[in-house]
Amino acid sequence: MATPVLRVKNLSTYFHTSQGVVRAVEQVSFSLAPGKTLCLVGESGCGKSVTALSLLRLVEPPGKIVSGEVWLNGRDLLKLASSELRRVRGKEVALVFQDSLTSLNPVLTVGLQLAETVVAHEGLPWKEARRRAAELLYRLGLPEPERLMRSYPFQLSGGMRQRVSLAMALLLRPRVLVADEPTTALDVTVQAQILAELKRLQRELGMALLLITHDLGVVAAMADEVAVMYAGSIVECGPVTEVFERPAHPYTRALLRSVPRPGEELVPIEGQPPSLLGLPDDRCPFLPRCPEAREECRKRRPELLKVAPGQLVACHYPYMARDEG
Amino acid sequence: MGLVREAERGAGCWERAAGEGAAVRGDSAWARLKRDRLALAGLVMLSIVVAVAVLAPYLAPNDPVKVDLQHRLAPPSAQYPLGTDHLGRCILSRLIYGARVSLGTAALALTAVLLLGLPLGILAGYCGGWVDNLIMRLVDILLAFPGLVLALVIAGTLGPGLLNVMLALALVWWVGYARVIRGMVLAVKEKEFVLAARACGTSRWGIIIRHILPNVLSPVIVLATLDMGKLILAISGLSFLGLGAQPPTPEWGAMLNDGRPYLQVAPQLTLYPGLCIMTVVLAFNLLGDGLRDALDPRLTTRL
Repeated sequence: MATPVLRVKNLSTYFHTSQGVVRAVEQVSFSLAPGKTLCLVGESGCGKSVTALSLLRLVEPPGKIVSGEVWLNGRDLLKLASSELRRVRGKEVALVFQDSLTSLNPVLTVGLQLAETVVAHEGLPWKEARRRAAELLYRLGLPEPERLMRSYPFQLSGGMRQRVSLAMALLLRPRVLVADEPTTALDVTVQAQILAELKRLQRELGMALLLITHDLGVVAAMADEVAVMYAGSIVECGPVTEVFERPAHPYTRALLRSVPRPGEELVPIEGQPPSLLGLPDDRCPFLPRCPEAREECRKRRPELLKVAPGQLVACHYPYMARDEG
Repeated sequence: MGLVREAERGAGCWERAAGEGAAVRGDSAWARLKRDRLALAGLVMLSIVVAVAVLAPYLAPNDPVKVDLQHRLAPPSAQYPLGTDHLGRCILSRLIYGARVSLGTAALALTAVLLLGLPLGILAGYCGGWVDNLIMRLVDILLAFPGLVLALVIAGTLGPGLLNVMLALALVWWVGYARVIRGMVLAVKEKEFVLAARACGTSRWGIIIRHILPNVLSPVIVLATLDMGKLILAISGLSFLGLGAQPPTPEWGAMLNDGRPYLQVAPQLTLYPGLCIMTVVLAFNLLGDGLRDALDPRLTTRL
């Protein structure tokens, strides 16, 4: 595998609330090669978005990154001075949010918001910055970019707005794009278009993509690698073909079974994801919902271990190992 | 009634949107303001008063401070269209020049209020923590006093004079703005677009100036318009009490005070400045109410 452009090691982000400590992200590690796509999947509230925000140190109090390293281009982003970090944000790592209506400023025109980033980072004159923004909008399949840039976010449709958000993130040709559920708020046809455009631009720019989603269909279409999160930790990760064909963690298996397929029965996962508040760390977090739970699972939290080339699983009794042994 | 009007507005937007394609500018605040007759009336009245104030030297028939003791308390005549006051000064000329003084001082005081209130409110809301605590406790202390009485104390300590009155008013008036603005900043800074701007590497000041300020500005405009009327009243009130404009400066509040002893023999001395104050305050209130409706964010964000 090529040298990773982004390497995250043992990242933990806790929220110190009045009721106690919420371990939103616990010891998360992954790496991302240039031009590749890693999908972070999991249920709502399992720490996917906080992981994304932690990468750029955008977690607000009471949230706090308590440990870990985020290596980008030989620099640990968690140790950068805030002025240096500002230059990294947007320029080297860009973020796309789920809801483009709230992630665009309602009182500024689209053009101003797009150009602002270019002006701030590259010191180009406004006119030049606007020209570049218009060019990118056109490449993203938006006709009449000049007119579009004069309009306000609320005047655009959801699909157009999401393309604008995407353009904003891509304007500076970042090396890594973090997209937090970029298509969840859209209908499926628009979703397919935007994903296709994202993939095309990713190829053109040689950009690494960290795609956060709970839609396994999106994962199958986009990902090279996949990391499954549960209760703040990665429980299984590896190449998407391996993980989808030979899921080793009971949670991954359950997740895949809960995807509707024609002719097959839909199997929901019993129970609720655990509250991250005061989650005991002396047992497996999936224990209450696991159909295969045994004595060992109550005694020790499983570590992320290799079960196949490139495939890591945090389970005392992963499927593959058991089948073979 | 309100519902019908809203429905009409909605329909108007829709037709325009359909006519010009998806990316159109919605119903603008100005278009909504134009449909509000009362606000328009206020705007027209204010435009006239401002024009009169600006053109005072050309409009006033006489020198506003020239004393003509032979024509004291004279009835209206060709030379003195509204008569004269107790010193034989032309009332009309004094009213015309008074517009300059009253509007000018109120505008300057308001500027000072905004210069204090906006940055402090934004700072308190955006920074939070001890900065917020410090500013807001100061605001609490100032709000614990009745504003006009405190202004009276400050102006009294500084000595009479228009400049001191403006200063005194600014010092007690900014607290309301700081409070309102802080609240709005608190709400705006949690919005996702602020996070998005930070994710793009926008600096703290860039976020405050380009993203937060425009989002809190329209309520501030409304508040400021309504407050212009209140400030004119306050300045007139302080001048009436002898703290503001000093003789012979023509100022509406001071003119009221001048005319007070002659209320029974020459009511026009107090009637005309009183009418002027009332008209201007009313105009500002009408315009302010209209602006509040026109700039309502719920209307601007609807498609």
